[in-house]
Amino acid sequence: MFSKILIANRGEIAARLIRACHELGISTVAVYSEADADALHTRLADQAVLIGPPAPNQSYLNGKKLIEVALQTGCQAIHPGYGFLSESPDFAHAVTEAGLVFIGPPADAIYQMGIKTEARAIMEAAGVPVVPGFQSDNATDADFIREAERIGYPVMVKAAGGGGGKGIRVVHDPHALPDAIASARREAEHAFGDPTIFLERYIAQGRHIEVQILADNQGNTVHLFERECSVQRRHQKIIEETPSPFISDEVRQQMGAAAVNAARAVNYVNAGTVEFIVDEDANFYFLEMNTRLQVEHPITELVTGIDIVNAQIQIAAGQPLPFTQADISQRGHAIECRVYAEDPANNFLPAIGPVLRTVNPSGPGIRVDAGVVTGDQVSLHYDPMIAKLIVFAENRADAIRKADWALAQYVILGLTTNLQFLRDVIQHPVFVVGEANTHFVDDYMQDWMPPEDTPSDAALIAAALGELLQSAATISSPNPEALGDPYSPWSRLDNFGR
Amino acid sequence: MEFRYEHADTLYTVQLEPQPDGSYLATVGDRTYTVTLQRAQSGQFNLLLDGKRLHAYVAHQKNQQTATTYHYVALVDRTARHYELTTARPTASRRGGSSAQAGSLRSQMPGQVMQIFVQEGQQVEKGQNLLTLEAMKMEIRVTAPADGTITRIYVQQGETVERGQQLIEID
Repeated sequence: MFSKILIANRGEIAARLIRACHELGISTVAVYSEADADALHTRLADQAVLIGPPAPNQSYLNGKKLIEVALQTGCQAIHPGYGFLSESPDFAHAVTEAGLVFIGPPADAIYQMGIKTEARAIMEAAGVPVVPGFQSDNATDADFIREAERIGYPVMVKAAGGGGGKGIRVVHDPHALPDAIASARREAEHAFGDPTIFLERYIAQGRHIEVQILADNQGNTVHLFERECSVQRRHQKIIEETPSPFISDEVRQQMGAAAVNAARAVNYVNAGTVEFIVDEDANFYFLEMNTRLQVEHPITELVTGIDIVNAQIQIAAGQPLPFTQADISQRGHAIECRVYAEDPANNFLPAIGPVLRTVNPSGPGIRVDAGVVTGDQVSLHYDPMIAKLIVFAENRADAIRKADWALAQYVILGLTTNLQFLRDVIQHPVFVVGEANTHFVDDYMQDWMPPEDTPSDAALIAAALGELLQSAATISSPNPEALGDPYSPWSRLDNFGR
Repeated sequence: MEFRYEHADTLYTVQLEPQPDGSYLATVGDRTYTVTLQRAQSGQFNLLLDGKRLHAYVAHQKNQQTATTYHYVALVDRTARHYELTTARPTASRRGGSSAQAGSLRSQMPGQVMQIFVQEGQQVEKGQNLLTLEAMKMEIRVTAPADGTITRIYVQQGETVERGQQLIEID
């Protein structure tokens, strides 16, 4: 087993990874950009090393620097998290070449799945249906326009190197294609360091359902069932759940088997996710494989009882999976709500600023994976997702009720967030009956406004009390310097008395 | 003591009068409430408002650039809500320079100017793409709110802009 791991990421996932390592008795090294000198992950790790300016391509995407830091600090392995360099075969290869362990799949598997055309061919050979599309490294705009005609509009322009909804455009009209390609390329370059894009037919009434897999170095590959990720805004998931309310047990088993076949076809090792688009008749098509940990992995953890990050580390250390497919079952229902610093009433514009106060909901079946806590800043440099609220209950109706209750208990002061929007989504009749597809937000939430805008008397009184009692506290707090008492609790650098 | 707040151009006044029994008499407009504090610490209150239980979290911060104090309140109950207020500005300076002027486009978010598609003096149509901003890996298009002429461009490509900063003037 490893004794020290470098965490090549930031935000909530870096915090999740650091805690998983510490639980296993493994020391951690965080890396941070100048913008993240005081960030949560920088404070949580045993060591933290500055790697560069805020821009991702000068810090979190600088693979050479990350490997250098890992070697200098005596790490044996690097966990890339999601996003950034997690799906860069070059980085995975360089990590291995440097004598370190990449906690993720082999570079070859990332490479094969990363080239969508190759991935498609492999899937077809494995008997999995694929969505019609086009990808070429040196295609001109004219090539793309011709291929789009062949595929049929609307088409999606997607980042070949990406995921997480970045660099995606839906194009309905040939005239809009060159512009969409150019801007998707810029966004992809900035987010993933790779401007390559590809086209795919846009399945209008589709559902986005994915299957989690785990594979060890001994040739054991299992699936951990599906996640339904249909509720998206700007092609970025905001709510995920498992099991999917849409598919039958028969389709579930077929999709699980297809995902295992897909992983075996590229000799996959470690955790991965096979994404499918499912049409109205429950036909499923391979979209892509995410060769990394997913943002929404916790819902699978809650219904299977398997800690996926823990499993990733064990697998990377060469240990066999401690379970077989027959040992794994899905129990109950889990929902994840992604909490974003953004304004849902204003085209989801990102909000930045200080987090003056956060209070996480807690209780049986409630989990919060947060990237910021009270006193932290949300900056303009990175993704505006600040936390994930994940709930578990015996059935879907209970899980929805629990998620709504937990969202109501969630306090985030100082920033505009989507907390209220999330509550309204999960209470929407279409979501409640399990009918939400990938168009849900556009179709039903487009004109969403906060329910009531004028401050209630209770809110005004609370604000006034806040001012009044704060001034009272300042007057009555003993000043440790004036008292000359270094042992006074008021001089301790913790939260006591604040 | 009197506290004055502003929200969506409406003024609100709250009077808090400490009572001998440790409670407060709160007056908002023409409504008066008895406020009993059960626990109050570091911006977290458990209180009874005319006997009705209320859990509140409050925080405030002064924005140094705009010299405005923002107040954030979360009421945590079954119909939980978050509120954002500002300390009311003196009447004389209200309607000052901080609200959007006609014909002047301001950045709705901090970010970087990626591309500018228009020039000063150019005629533009409503909805026409004027420039793109990028923040948090997203591109935001700034489009013309109405037909008109670009009279002034305040920013340059690559420039970092703050929220509320003037970008373009259209006449």
